[in-house]
Amino acid sequence: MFKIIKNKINELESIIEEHQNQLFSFAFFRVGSYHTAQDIVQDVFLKFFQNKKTLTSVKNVKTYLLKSIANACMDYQRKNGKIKMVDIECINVANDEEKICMAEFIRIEDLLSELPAEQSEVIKLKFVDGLNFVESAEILNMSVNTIKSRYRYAMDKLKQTHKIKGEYYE
Amino acid sequence: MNEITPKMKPSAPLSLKKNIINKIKMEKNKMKTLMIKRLLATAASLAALLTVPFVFTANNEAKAAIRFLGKSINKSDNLKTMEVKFLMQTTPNENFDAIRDDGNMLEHTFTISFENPHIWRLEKSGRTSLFDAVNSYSWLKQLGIGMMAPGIAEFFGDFEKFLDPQNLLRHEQQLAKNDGSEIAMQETGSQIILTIKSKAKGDFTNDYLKNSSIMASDNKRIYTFDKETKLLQAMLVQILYKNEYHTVFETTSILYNIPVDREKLTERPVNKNGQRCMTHQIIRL
Repeated sequence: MFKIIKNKINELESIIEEHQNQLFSFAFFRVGSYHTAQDIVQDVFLKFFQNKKTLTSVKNVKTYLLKSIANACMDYQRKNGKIKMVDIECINVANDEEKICMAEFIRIEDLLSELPAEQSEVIKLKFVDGLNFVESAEILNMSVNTIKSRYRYAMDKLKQTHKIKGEYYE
Repeated sequence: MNEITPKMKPSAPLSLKKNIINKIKMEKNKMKTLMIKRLLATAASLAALLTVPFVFTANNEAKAAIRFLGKSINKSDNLKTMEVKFLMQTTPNENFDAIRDDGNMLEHTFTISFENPHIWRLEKSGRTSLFDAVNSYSWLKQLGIGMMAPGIAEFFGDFEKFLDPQNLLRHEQQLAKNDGSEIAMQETGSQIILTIKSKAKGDFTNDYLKNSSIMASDNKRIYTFDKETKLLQAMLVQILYKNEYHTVFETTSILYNIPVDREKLTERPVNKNGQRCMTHQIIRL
């Protein structure tokens, strides 16, 4: 019995090592807080481990975890309301990396602030998380075509408002 | 599209993985704590379970008593500490569950702190086993060496049945179904006494292993618990040898909610030279 648990923990450890940075960054750019992002990633991994089926039955662990993180971030935003923007200097952060990342978070939120939430999310999945349309569609539970059209609308709007320059490609 | 791409992405904090793994271990241990806590009402639950066959023929009064006993299982959830002192016929260095006919009735102390994280220690003159919420250790005091295993290891051997009520209950349930077990429940003014007589379990074709442990013996187990507090008060185990019952396990005291120094509970024991056992002498299992 103990060995089974131990093996599962070893397996989970390697999954954490492989995906933790991407998942943490994903959560951070949704909630804008290191602390909250850490809590969310932690909870998702715990639930992933506690669900006996997931370790053996999930085919694409990365997508499964990203989807879980996306849902957890949405829950968090639902409970805590829209993220309030504050001046980076007012934020008490632990180190330079956190400060730069907070500044980036604020900059990107500002850039996407005029987009409807669903279009903004598609843009983030592509540019912030580096996911392709197929992966984005899987995470948002939508067709690839819907993702593509939201992407086009969003990019048009960003160009019109002069927030981005240059050509964009799907 | 550089404008939308972050110039820097945050890395997961170094503590993230450690926190997750620790939490998982804690969860497992918490589950174990609950199981162990329920040991304290084992007698009650045993009575409730073991008298199930009796229910079918018993009167309503007996059924009410069983219901009452069943409720008592939850009583142990509020306990903070427990200390059980018992005598067992064995030798100082032997595994905790082994009965030795060349042994004496040696004093053992089993102490649990149920505060989160729960920890416990089982000790006799030659051996100490403890669980410090992360690892289990079993120290051979004479040699000053010990074994360590992550999580709750099986250092208690068969004796763990008595520490883990779920195992015990499952075991007792099996016995209840077995025609060879005799179960009797006696109610006095302030106590409920449950007596279970069982046949030896195992393959004893050559009789070598018979009477080597409680379960490998024809045995009688007597649980006494307080009718009012519903907590276990005493436990006695006797094995049948040459047509006579001999006591091999007997509690001398069971105390609840006494002050327990948690640091001392997980302290490494002192070896025969009066020195504390060294961690580098640990054999990792």
